[in-house]
Amino acid sequence: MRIRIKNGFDVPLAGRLQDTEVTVKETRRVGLVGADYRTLRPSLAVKPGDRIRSGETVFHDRRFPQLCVTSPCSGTVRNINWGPRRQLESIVIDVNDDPPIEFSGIPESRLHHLAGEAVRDRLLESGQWLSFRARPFEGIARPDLEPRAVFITAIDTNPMAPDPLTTISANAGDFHNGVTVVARLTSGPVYVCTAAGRELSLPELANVSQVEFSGPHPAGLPGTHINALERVSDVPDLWHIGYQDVIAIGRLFTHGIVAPFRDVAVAGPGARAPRMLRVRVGAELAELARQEDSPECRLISGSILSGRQTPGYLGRYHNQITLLPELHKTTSSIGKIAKMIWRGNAGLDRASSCAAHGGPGGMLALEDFDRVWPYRVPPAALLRSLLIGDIDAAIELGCLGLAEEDLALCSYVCAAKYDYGSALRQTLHEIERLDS
Amino acid sequence: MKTSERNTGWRHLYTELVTQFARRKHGSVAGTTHARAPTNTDVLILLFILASSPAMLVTAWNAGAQMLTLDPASGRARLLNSMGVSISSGDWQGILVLGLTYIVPLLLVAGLVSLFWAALFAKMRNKSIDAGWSMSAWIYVLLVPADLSLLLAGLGMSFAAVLGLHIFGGTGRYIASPAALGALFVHFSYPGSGQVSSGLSWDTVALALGEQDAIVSQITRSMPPDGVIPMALACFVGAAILARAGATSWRLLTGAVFGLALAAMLAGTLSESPTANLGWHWHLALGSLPICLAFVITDPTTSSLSKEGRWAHGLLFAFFVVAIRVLDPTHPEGSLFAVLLATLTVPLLDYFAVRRHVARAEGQLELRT
Repeated sequence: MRIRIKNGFDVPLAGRLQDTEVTVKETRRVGLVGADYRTLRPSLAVKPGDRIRSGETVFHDRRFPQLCVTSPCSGTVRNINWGPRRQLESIVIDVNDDPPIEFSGIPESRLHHLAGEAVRDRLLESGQWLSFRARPFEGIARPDLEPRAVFITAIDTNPMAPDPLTTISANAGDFHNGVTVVARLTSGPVYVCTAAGRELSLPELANVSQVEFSGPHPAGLPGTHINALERVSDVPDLWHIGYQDVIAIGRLFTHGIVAPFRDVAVAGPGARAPRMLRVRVGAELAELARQEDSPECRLISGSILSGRQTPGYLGRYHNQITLLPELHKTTSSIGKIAKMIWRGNAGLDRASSCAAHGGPGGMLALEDFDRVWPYRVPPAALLRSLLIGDIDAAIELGCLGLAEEDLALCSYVCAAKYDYGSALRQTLHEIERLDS
Repeated sequence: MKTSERNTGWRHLYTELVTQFARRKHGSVAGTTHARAPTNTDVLILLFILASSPAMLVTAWNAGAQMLTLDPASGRARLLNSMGVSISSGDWQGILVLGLTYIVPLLLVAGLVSLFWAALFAKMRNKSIDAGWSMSAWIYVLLVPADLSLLLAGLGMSFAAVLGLHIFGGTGRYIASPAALGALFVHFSYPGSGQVSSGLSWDTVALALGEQDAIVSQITRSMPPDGVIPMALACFVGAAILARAGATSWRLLTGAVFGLALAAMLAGTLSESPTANLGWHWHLALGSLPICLAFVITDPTTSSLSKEGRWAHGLLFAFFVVAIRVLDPTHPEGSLFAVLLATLTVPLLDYFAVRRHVARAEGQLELRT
């Protein structure tokens, strides 16, 4: 199946990745970022000073104790940082070279016959369950639900994102096995979402199908795929998972090791030599930046549209690191106006720094929102309902099918400089609170 | 707490004001979207002012021409003559200077009054100065009669600033254009307070609607005395710049032009009167319609939230204009009323757009493919 989206915007950005050669890079420090596990209520299994091995449990959820977060590396727990209101901010581990925990390997030929229960148990035990996130609410998938459909995201249209097919073709066998295993989790469809015209070797299973998406960003966001192919209900039963996690799951089942590695692109205007690195999940970003990278840079785990600067470790779900200059010149209004008239639109312009370009004012419903918005709902109506906290209107207009990253382009073009992602999160929190 | 105190002092307000239209260093982005497009509210407002400057010049010239016709030996004309500026009906530079002696004081008064209210509200609310003060004063001057007394101008501007702009929370939050509200306030509360309209006199339009042939013959001469064509051109340029830059909606503009053509044809088939049979392009060019269409109805704050709403907003505006002009001979200049009426329908249009979506796919997001 092919789906072409019409509206959207690829933010022009300097520092594109040229070379797809992957360099392995170990960092001395690795951090688990609390924001990735927002929906869990952590009960810690380690304390500072403990030695742990890669794959060992660091904390588990209080509500579903079988949901555990495992360490991506062997090492010593350095410190556990708490944020406001006792929110887990990060757990920092000093890496050493103790061997990882191993599981028994399963021959490839038997993967088709695995029971759903066996797959679940191994995923939960190894911590790989955390790769699945569910809509609505974009939380970690609940172990007590069976997914109605699973979306494997094998396309990435974020600015400066690496090409997923490079990594997938280098690990074709593991990806193939990973898809087979994921397909055991549900009786519903498994959609492998790719860019148009890309050949993938997929297991020949009745419920697995490839869907090709083309068009500008957000054609590569799981939110776009989910809303295009399924109807969002009020139970979080539409799951999605990234391609690198599928590869890791394939390796976990056949080789019996948790492989917490990511191929990430280090790119952006601040990167002197945009490059591909193979690093651990949670690698410390400061260590990955090189001498020649511009020092006045913001190190973003993820893309400029929906990445994270703090606490400075590679996020669980991120496939790229963007270097965006922090320092910026003052900008002249006349210059901006000349550019707007010359280029022909207000919001759609090159991004070159982290400059805020203005403070919050009242929202202005300019045509720019419609240009970058891929859905039929009037975007300004949805955005306004989020800003004023009108929950009923927001639900009617489809906020349950969205996550922060789906609204990032709206924040990008907004003349009043609102952050619609955080407005959406607040609304979703409120809906969850009212439901429970 | 300390920073917020520092940021809202009078001194800070002053700095903010001087840098509003010049170079300004904004902080870095917080949140998850790390880069932002360079456009912001300040820039959009400056763009509105720049795009309407040609219209402002034509307004000044037009005011000068009308004042000269009304009173060729007025005090100002004599004063200018004694200073060496020749003021005669054939000399456009002299007429422009005469007009500017009316427009510049108006701009100063409206600007200062608007700024006063903006600063006062900013101080009381511990917020920064609302960027819309300059745009509302500028557009307000385009809409009021040029020979309005400065006291009344200040009063009207106060009404616009307080009840039109700040009471709702400023730019991005008001329901109807503050400038239009202020101009209407002056018109209703002090009828006959000015003899010339900045855009074009009410009388001229009445005349045009009654004596179409006379107007047409005037316009085909080298320089039309009433400034219809220059004003229409200046507004067209302004509207094109704004739509090109993305500051206003091209859907709204196109909808309004279509609506005008449709309504004018409809009026022509329904009635035999010369007003009803005026060509749609004359409707477009006459009166303060060009100004209202280019700079007032397109105000991004009052624009509809949906594409369909913007089309409908433009269409409705055009229908209201033609209806008022044709059906109400006592108010041939109906553009401002039409702006107000059309703007008040926007929440209803948005409601219908949202209902239409909800009826089709409640709670779901359909892709536009």
